[in-house]
Amino acid sequence: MTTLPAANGMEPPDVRCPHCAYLIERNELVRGPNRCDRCQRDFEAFALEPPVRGFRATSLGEDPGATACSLHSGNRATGHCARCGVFFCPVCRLEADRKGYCPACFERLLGDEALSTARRHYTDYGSLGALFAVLGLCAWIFALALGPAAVYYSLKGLTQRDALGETGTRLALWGWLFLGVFDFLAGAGFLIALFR
Amino acid sequence: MPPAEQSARLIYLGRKLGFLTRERVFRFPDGLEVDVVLGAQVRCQRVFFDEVHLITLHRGRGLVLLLVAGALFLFATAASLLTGLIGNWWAGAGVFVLAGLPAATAFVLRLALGLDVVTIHGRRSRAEMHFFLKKARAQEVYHQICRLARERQERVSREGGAG
Repeated sequence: MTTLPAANGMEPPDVRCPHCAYLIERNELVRGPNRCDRCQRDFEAFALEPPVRGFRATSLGEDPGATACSLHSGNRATGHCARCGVFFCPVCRLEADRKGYCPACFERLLGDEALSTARRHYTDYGSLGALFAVLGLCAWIFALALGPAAVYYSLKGLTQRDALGETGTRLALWGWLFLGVFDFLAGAGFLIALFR
Repeated sequence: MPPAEQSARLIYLGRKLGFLTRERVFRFPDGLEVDVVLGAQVRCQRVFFDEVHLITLHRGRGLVLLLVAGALFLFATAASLLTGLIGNWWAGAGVFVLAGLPAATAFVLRLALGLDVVTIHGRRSRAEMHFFLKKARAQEVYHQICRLARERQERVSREGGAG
């Protein structure tokens, strides 16, 4: 059995006071209430020692029933890629969304933004809804267009939150949606009053 | 865990409001996702439970809100006095009630209650959440993350560090 050096086996970063950023010795920190020596202000802390990760790859040996890893011919395969089915050893297994992928598939899915727990950026439609709703409130002359835009993007934001599986962030979106409806009605009233 | 949370991939925990950005922090089975909202674009960062080395909870003041509320209060007071001196004291009082009083309330409330801040330090990334009125929620989130990080790290250690 070979244990490869851990990728994140470095020393834990410095510990600093959350109030004044004064450097605190790690061994001086206790689990629970602490007080900074410099600013004398209290804070709670819970220090942990993250385990060093190692990857245990077993050599193929003479076992005729064992399957070799597709990338490391000397290593015994311990699973297969959830996308392409290629065999991999623990060294080249990459986990995302609770599934194991080979490096090539992982890169491809990452590029396509198809892995929800590995996505790096996205457009927040809820923010666009908020922007249009506030703009509609400020410029009633354009509210007839901005109101429906706010409603559209707020609804899209709600669908997006559902798709992402987010909980607890919907109330504001409903607020922007109703503000969009108000913008539209107020804008229509404003224009009717203007041209009457 | 409620049934709605069981099906959710991301469970909302809290947020941090800055001058130009806001951050929303969610919990997912392996860690925390920090969504940094810049306009309509969201940048995602993650703090994994097996990389967490420190979790802190402290009560700060939140300088941004204090400065903004203080400045707004001074501006509204000056504007209401000016309006009153020009001739209409009722309009001056209206300006003060609409802008000055809420700003003063926010300033005093923030000074009195403070801002509870939960910070999670990972090896490579960091998550921060601010709680103004929900002090019990700050405690709940702090203890929940402490428990989840400890459990996760114990499990990884038991499995011999293999991930």
